Amino acid sequence: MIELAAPRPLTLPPAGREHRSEASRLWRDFARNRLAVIGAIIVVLLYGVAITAPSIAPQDYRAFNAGQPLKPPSAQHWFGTDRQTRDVFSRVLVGSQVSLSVGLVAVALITGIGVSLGALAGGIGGRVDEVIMRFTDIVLAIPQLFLLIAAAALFTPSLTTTMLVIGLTSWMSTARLVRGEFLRTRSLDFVLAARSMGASTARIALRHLLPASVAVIIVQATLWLSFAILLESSLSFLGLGVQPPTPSWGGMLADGRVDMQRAWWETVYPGMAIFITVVAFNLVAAVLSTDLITTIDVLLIGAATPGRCGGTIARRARTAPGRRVRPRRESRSGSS
Amino acid sequence: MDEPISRERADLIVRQFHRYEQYFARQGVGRRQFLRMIALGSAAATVLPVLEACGLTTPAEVRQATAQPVATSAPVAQPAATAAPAAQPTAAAGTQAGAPQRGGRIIIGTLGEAQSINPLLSNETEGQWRDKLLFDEFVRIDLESLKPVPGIASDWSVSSDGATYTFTLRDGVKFSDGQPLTASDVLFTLQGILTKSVASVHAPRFLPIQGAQAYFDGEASTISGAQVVDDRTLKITLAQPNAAFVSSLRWLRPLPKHLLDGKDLSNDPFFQAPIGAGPFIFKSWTNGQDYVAERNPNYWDPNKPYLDGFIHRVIPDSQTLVLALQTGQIDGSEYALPTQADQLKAAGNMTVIVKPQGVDTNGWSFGQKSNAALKDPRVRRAIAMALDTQRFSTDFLLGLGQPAKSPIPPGSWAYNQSLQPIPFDPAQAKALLQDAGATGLTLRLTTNAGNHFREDWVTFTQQGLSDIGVNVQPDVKEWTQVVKDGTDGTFDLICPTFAGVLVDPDELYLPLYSTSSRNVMGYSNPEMDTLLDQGRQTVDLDARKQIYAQVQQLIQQDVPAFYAWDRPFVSVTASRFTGYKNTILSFFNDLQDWSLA
Amino acid sequence: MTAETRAYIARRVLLLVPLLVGLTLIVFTLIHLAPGDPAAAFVSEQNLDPQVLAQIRKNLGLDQPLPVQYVIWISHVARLDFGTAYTFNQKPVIELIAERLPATLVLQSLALIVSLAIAIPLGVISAKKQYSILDTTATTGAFLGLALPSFWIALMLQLFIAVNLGWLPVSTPGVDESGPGRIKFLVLPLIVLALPTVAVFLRFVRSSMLEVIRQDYLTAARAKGLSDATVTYRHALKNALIPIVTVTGTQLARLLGGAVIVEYIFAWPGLGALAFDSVLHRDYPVVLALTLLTGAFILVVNLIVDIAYTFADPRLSFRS
Repeated sequence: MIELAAPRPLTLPPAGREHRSEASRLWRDFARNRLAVIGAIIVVLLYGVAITAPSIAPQDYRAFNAGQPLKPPSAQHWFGTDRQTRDVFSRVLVGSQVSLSVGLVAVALITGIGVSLGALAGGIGGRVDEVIMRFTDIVLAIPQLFLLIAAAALFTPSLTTTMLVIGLTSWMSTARLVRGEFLRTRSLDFVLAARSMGASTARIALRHLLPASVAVIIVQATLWLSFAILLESSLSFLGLGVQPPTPSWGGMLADGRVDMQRAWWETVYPGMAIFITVVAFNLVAAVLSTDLITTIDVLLIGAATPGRCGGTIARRARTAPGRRVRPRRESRSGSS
Repeated sequence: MDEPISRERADLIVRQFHRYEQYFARQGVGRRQFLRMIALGSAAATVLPVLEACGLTTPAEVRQATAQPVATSAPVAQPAATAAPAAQPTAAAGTQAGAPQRGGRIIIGTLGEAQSINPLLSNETEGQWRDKLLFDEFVRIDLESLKPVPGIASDWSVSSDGATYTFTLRDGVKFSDGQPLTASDVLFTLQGILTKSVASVHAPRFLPIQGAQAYFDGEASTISGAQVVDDRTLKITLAQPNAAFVSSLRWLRPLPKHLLDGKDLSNDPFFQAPIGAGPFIFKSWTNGQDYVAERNPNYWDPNKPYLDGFIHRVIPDSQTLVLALQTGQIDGSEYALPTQADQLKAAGNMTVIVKPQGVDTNGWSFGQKSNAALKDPRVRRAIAMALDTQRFSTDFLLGLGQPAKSPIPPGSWAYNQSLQPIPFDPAQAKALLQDAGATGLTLRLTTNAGNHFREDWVTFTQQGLSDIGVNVQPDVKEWTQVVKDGTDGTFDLICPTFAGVLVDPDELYLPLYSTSSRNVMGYSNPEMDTLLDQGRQTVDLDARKQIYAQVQQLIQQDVPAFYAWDRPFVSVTASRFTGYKNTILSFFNDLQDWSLA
Repeated sequence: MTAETRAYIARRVLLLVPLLVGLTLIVFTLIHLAPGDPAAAFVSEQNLDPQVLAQIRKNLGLDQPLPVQYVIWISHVARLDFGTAYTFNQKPVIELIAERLPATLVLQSLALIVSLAIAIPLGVISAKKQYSILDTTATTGAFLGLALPSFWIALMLQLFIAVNLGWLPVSTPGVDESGPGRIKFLVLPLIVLALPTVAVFLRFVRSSMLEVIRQDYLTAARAKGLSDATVTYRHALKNALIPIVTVTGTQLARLLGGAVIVEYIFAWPGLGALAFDSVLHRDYPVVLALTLLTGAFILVVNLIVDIAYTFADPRLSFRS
């Protein structure tokens, strides 16, 4: 997103030792990029908070403070108290556990399912492609809301159901995108080259097509990380998310909404927490996505195909990863 | 304004002007300033009432504007009488002099859409309210005393044995299409309610009529206890005397027989654009949006309704509802949350009223059918004693709701004033539990999602009961599922109690009587049964009051249901409307009495 | 269009019907399995009579075994009779949906058009002028659009623009306003809907364009002497558009599903709100009809998107 790293020049290191120097170069670029570092620090902090939350929270997130509903931020309650007289600061801290885990698990599900199905469909093509696509169509056609409410009704809403439901109902766009990328890249020259050398479909998919789609996958994954946290808050708003008294940032936003004009602290602090989390993840991912394309394909391609052939192919892939490439006058294998 | 000022009056004005000028000059107010004050005063006198009507000024602004002249505003304004003389810049409250103004339209905001405007079927507040204004009620309920008063029936008499009522219908009642409403229409509606296939939710209320059960079961083709004597007289005989029967006649909303005879009353296209004899006629209804009604020109009361019409607007989100009130997009609502009451008052152009207690008494019913431990009254009482309902009311209900002592609203004639609340005594509660041998209980508390008072109550209960060793598992789910659990009796603790009272204490009969089909709690107490039977059959009000006082005592002892707190409701209307009363029924219940201030 | 493509399209179109039937079967089972009683809509807290409930269930045909209910329903649908709603004043379902459809269509299509109109040019320019002020602002703005829940953004807008400034109304007009006056009621919901969509599209356009711009063949084209504009727009954009077509398709497909939260908050009486209410009340006829409608729409849109792929990239074909 905000790419403050300069785009790297398209020169090639010698074949064979590429990945090591690539990785270190990536690390250096990353370290030089202040925003990405800040983002990374925030992410680490967030996870630290999430893990230690119950111990560092000044009050039990369920504890009532008799006689103190909707009190503004003060020395005893840094973020004030909510409508149920509970300490907002403690609840924001503990709420990080819910929000962060929902994001992670949901994205893992989405990426896992989406990439697998999309790769199968795009990589293999034919019958398999059709079946998978029609299945995707059907799941897409069921309004997500019905699924969410049905899930909420069948299984009492909880953290687990929320994670599962978000993950299981959101993989479709990833699948379609990955399939699209696969379709586009499978007829490209370097893939044809690999195929002519006898590489199997699976190898082609894993080693050539997948890295080429990495850009799209990364963008989708970071999008869904943010979406998942936001989706969780929407679910809480509709009453289908994590149940009280377990705090979640989205739930706190939803509950505190009605008190907005009278007790802004009930919603502003969880809102800020969501905002910071989303921004931090996106900062890190933004920088990664520029470099990751080149890094991963070099790493995988370079490591996969042996010797100088690998180097040549890697070079080709490096020049324009996964895109149309005008054939160069180089021999398939041989000196480079 | 039209007639020219006479010479004498002109002289008088000039003389008065000079006199005031000298008075003010002595105070140090120059002539120019004096003239300016007069101009302001008269401008204020003209413009402010107009602004008031549009709801665009606050009382503070009004006071400020009219306070410009150093002396009192009225005498200063009059000498410069170029303005309309009758203008009074008052911050309008609920009072006015003389006959109410005709005209104006009110936009009322509601959270839920009506499910149905078929008076036989509608069973939620919105649909019922619309039906009341569409069809009128056979018998009305007085907003303050909650006693039955004339509606379409202008008078009634009871036989000496208390079992036969003779109702006289009002003169000149017509449906909005001009057809007269007669006793046959009333009987027709009654038969419709008691037709099994219609599945009217009000049927059980009319089963006390002689022959009604037979008609309901399809064994008789007419209701033997209901007779049309003539066009304006209807005689109803009950199987047994039933003091609460007249109150339940407010659910008898006459349908036009000439339009519906022979039709399927559960699903006729008539109900897409109904015609009734009420004060407002149906104009249009866009589902999910606006329900529009207009004044009924054929209404039996020639003066009412004063308003030209109303719009019932659905705004499903309570925060948006309050914002719409603040920006004037809607004129009134019953659904502002207590937490928003202060903002609304601060806006200054609205009347904000906290409804009397008892509209919605919450707590829970104990499910004795599904959990044997709850059959022991000691266990139930112990659980009730473990909760500090005063603390809950102060903190969670923001002091606007009160702890409850009884299912009957405090303002009702039947309320037992001498009731003491169930004491908050966790130590005693623990002792009781030990006595009963019921330590280490786990109970499921079922309630509906989306009602944050109840959700807070669940959290509060969890904490309070864990202090006496009872583990509460929250079971917050959708309303449809709560209803299922309620009807099947598969609950440990369920909120709402399904055993509340709004108008007549006889409403406790069906939920608490041991053999009633609506007794979903599985409560059985012969003493209660006797009392409820007596309360139903005693006609004398004072005697009834005594009986229900005992019922309330028994409920506190036995705790079939725990009545813990009264949910606060806030009614709001734009200040330019008047004619309302603060009542436990719907704030807009008697909209035909409302008018512009 | 090749014969192959035509055959493919024909096959897809034929598949639509069995797919839809399958869809309704799934949703029918789901909604009936979900605990909760449609008759509960006719019950209030003061008035809970099991006998009446049983009769209501009978009237609604709910006492029949599930497969029988399904067969009855689908045979009616074959005759284009979608029945009457259980709640919603028992209005015929088709009328109900027809009443609500325009509201959703207007809102959603405007949101989509506005999003595309903002995101595509902005994304292209951002990619071309990387790291410029415009780029940074646009990407930051995109962040904001995706960083906060829509209901919260809606509340902020309502509070500041509607209540404090009084520029726009907080919710729908109802019957009061008609014609051009209605536009001001559209603005806030439109902003809330468009914000995340713009953000998503912007990201895609920009990153796609960035990759494509760097390619050799573009250098070759520039070397041939083609102008910058031609290079950018004709060659680069066309390729970058492929993933955008997919995402647009997904967004379009969700058009009818409606944005439940936006419709709920702004009291916008559209299909999203209808869907939510009907599922909540277990109003089966409405739920099923909506599923059928949105399902058909989505399947058709997906088909169109797939066809659009071929025009964007002629090398993609439908070889099996």
